[in-house]
Amino acid sequence: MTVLTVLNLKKYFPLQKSFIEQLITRKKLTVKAVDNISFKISEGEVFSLVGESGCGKTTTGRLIVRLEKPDSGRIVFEGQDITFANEKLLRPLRRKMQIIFQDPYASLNPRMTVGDAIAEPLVIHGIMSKKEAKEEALKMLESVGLTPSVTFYKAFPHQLSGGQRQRVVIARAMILKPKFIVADEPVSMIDVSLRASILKLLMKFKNIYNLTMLFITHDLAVARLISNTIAVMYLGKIVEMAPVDELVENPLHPYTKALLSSVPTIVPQMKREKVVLKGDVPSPINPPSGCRLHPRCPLAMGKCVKEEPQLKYVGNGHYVACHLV
Amino acid sequence: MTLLEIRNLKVYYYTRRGVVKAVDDVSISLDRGEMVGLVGESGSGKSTLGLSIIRVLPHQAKVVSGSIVFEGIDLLKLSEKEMRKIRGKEISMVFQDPLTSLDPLQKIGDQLIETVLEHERNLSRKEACEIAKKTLQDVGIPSERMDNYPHQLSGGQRQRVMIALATILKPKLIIADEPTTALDVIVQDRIMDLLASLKKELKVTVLLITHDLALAAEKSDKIAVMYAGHLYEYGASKDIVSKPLHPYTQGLIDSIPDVFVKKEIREIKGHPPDLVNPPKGCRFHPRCPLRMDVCSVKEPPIVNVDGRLVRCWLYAQ
Amino acid sequence: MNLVNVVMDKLRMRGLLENANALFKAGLIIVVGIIVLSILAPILTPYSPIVGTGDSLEPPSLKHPMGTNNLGYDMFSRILYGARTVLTVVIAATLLSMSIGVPLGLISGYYGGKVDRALSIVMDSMYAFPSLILALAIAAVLGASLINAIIAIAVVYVPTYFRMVRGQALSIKSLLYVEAARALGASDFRIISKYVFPNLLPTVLVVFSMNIADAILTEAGLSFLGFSVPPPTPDWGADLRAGHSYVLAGYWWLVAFPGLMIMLLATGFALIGEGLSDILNPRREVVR
Repeated sequence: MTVLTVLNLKKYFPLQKSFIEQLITRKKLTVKAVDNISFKISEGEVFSLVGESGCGKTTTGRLIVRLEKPDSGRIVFEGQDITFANEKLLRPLRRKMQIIFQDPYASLNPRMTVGDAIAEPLVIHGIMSKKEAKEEALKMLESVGLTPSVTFYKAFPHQLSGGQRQRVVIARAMILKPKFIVADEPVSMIDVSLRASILKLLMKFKNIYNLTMLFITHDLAVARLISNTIAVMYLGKIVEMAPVDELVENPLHPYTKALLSSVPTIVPQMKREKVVLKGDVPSPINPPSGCRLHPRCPLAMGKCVKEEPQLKYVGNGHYVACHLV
Repeated sequence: MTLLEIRNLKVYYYTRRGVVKAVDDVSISLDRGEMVGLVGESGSGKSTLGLSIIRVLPHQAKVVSGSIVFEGIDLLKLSEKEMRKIRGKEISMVFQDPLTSLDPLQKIGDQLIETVLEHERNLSRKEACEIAKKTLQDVGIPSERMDNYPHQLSGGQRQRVMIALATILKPKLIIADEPTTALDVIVQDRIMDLLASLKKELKVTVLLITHDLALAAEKSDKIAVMYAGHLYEYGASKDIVSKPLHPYTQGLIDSIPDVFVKKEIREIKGHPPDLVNPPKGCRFHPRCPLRMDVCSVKEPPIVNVDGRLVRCWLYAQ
Repeated sequence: MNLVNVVMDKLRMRGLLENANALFKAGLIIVVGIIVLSILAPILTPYSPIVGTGDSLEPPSLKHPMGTNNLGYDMFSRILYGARTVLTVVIAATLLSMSIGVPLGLISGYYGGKVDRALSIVMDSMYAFPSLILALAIAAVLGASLINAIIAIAVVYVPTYFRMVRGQALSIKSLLYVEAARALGASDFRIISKYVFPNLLPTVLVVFSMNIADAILTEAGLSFLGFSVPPPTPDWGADLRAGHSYVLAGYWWLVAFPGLMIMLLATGFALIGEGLSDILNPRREVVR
């Protein structure tokens, strides 16, 4: 059963023009953050959006939970079109979809105790009384390993470490037993040796509640660990999408190959053909014509400059947007 | 051949909370022309160790004891004036964030030229300019960009400029403190390749300080693992990764996901230690799955196991 | 605020403003001390501040510790009871000011748009006036009385609270924990009351204390010009007004004590404000 369908999603951010620019040019400068992407996530699936900074993956996550309004396209959640829905329509849906942010330091209210923060969703949606909500929050604290729960309930965020705060954030997201979670780089700001426990916590909840997840990360290793499907983004577009093993063992797009050859690994002998991209990622304000990778791609042809490749199905659940394939 | 020898170094931070024993009796030696990855999490003391060598510690930090011998001279005994002659010329540093370590108001060409003239007083500005242009080309930046300001370059390019600044006087030792952490993975790979090729050409020793064990394993010749202010394992990268001796190293490897290895990750139980009041005995013992009684009482000595240094009671008698 | 700022700057230059807690404590002692003294007035002096004692223009003595004025009122008594007047006017005015300025600032900062633009123009125009002149204008229209003095001073400081709260609300509303609350489905009201307001409270407290210092000077100015409480109500500014023409003749105690008290009380509140500000925004670690 499909939980989320995203169709031709677009989000351009307008840029502030300098005074001179305003006088001279008429052109509207925009950052083409998300430029026509489509994908589907089925129930219980962990779908990862992987890419470097500026590729649009975080914006996609925010669009899906409607923290931003899309410019065009469709977002269908559990059969309901929420693309342009207003807050009134969205509020009941927010019980079923939650987002976990990257920064555990910034996503908790400094003036609210950790326990109250976890109980917040229950109180906001009027599901139970304050007293019952507190009980639930205590149980949740135990569930994420923050014991003794009574002590942690009364603590403030600044008294906790980064890893502990992220557990609080996860507890807060899970207390409503949502159906769908967007996790935006949930472990990037956590110490290396603590990441494993946070990831395992997420996977535990996924199994208990049969969660569907959109996992956003720049770390291919983490994506490999927990995803069922990986979609690779570059400059606002999805360039390749496949089940996780298929993508890692049989990458087809030059960008995916470049990523896989650059990722640090303790088994470098496993790396296949090394693809080197020259130059740096261009600005999303003026992306290159045709295939966006063409200025850097060692295999670029004439066609790549003129025509934008579309996502093609090549079997095995594998999609690629490349003229060479 | 040994280039740098650190002996029993202790560096403490004096804060309101108490005395933070950031580096607590660390001894390590670096040979010429090799890249050593100094791996550890935040709070392990790796950055403090790097900063101590070049002596740019924050004012709350004090070197309590120990020696850092570079080509026969104890750097800790030098005056600030003498140290300044060494910084940039004999030992240079690459920092994590090129945006804040490059002067935003100066053209990159000028920053390079100034660095040269600061140490080579008898060169003319024109000669220094030629050296600057060539060094920029060596790091892959066309010389036309000499007149650019840092904000006009991308993150990867700025880091290349930092590397140019660090290599322009052909130093013997480069300390790179998380040089690629702020960069995307493709750029990171190219910068590391650049460092590796410069290392080969100039026969520079590179101390790569990083929290990324896989990066250190892939790019450096040796790995030194630090935890809570101590050095726990030191040896050839390939050996450490294929057959880690210390339980912490093993724990790190087990807890880090890898793209090419399908495995279950296992967390290291417990939490990072309080450096004001570190655990007695071996600092890792509260989290160690293989701990024995002696581990909570006495600190293990450093033992040589087939060319690898390990600080663990499992290998000491 | 000018006089207080000058005093603060001089102290700062002498490096006395190192330890925040000392500042806060000093200010607290002064303010609480004056409040306690004003409450204990009936015990501390046998004279009434509005009844002549028969000794006029007496210099300070054992009988009249701060002397008497031309109408024979005991100055010590007028100082103690005057503190009640000043404190009442100033605290009431500030609280009234806050109760209007803070909610308006919250709404303006959080919602933005046309409401914000309109309110900002009004508030900025008011803020552009020197506080004393604006208070004067309002008091002149309303007439001299205790209530009108409170209203005049309250109105003058509404823009101060509005601007500060609006600025804070603007920056807080784009912080991640507010977005997270929105993603949870929190209503605007809940976000404003539980997420935005509690986080700007420390700043409001600091402005509150600094503001009272300024209000004390404004009240003194108002009553000096005759636009605050009507005589013979004891008030320090009023005493300055009554006594200033006698100074050249050598009757220094008529203005010295009221003037000193005004400065002392204002400084006390300012020290509390500075101390609070340091406590809430601690500076970097000091090297041992």
